[in-house]
Amino acid sequence: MNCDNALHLLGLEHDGRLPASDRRRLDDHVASCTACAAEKRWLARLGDVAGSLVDRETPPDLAARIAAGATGPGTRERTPLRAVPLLRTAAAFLLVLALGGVVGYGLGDDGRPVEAAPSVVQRDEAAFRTLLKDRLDLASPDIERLVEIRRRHDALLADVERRRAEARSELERAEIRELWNALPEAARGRLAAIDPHFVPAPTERR
Amino acid sequence: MFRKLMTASTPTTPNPSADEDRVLVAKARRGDEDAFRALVEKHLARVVGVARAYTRRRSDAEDIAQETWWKVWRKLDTFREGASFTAWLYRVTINCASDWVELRSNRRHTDIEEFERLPVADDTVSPLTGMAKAEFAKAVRDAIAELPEPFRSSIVLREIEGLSYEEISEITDVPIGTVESRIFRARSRLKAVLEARGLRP
Ligand SMILES: [Zn+2]
Repeated sequence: MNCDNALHLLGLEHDGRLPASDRRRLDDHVASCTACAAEKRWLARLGDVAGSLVDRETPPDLAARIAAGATGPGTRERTPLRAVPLLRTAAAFLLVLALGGVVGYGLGDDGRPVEAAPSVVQRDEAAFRTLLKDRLDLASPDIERLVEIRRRHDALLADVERRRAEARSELERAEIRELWNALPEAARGRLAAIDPHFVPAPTERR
Repeated sequence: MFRKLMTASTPTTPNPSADEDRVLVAKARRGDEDAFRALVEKHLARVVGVARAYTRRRSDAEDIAQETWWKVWRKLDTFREGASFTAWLYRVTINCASDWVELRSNRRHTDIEEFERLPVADDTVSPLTGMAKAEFAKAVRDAIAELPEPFRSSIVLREIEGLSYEEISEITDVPIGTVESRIFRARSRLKAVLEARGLRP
């Protein structure tokens, strides 16, 4: 038996697959070959630590969390296990709603305020209910309270935004008027004749 | 314990554990979440064992486990009835774990765990016999994590999960002879890596 054969058989022996017919020949070779004897010791050492190579210890609730995370609604888009503890989800929802109203609002190319496309969350009250029920395990009256809070919150934000837009346009108008008034009187007259859009609108309020 | 559990489950012998899996899988396929949770509870240790062989961080292994079960739940209807759930689960786990590692392999972090992996300075290397078991186990574990596929999965299933060649053949979908040669080569590489680090096995 050469060393190549012996090494192969040592692997089989380690895995409990050494044919009985090869046992004697292998032992004889290992007894007379330091390299193969070393290989045998290495395999024995590997076998010795095999059981301690990994520990399978997990937090006691990991299985339950994983199962709930996999089967739960709204998990088509998976969220990292650690990053979003369940309780924080509802708070995150409300935050998204709050930010959605403010951040999603801006000026379009033509300078006019545009509405941000409503998020799926905003559109889907039913999904919000399901989420509250499943993730937070809330009773129906509490769910309805939160849905109502959400509705009013939306209305409030819309109201704030409307007022903000008014204030902004008021400021714009004032600035435009200032620029316009700085022009020579004659030029203003001619420009007004060419394009009335240049003429600042009179103050609407009061 | 795990080793015994698995080697006891050859396909030919009656296997109450596999029968139980079949029932649970059938229920879970019909949307029974309790049955699915029972499967997770029963097999989580296997998934975590493989995941931890692929990554050093416990939290990363938990992420891999989560990903694995997420896929299992969604792919249950593609699972061939009558097949071994355990084998299928191992396959999904290995795919998730190697994808996970692959995706993050370009991101090198320099942290404590990274430093711990650096070869030990020469004067601290224990002589052949003096290396502590824990130290050796850690070196082996790190070397396994760095093996390329399919050697890594083969050696993980064999050394860590204690599976038979037949089981590994079913999981990795290659003939027994290929399993044998992969394991043989994986061990050679393992040994070479340890030697290169001055950790003479
Ligand atoms: Zn030899």
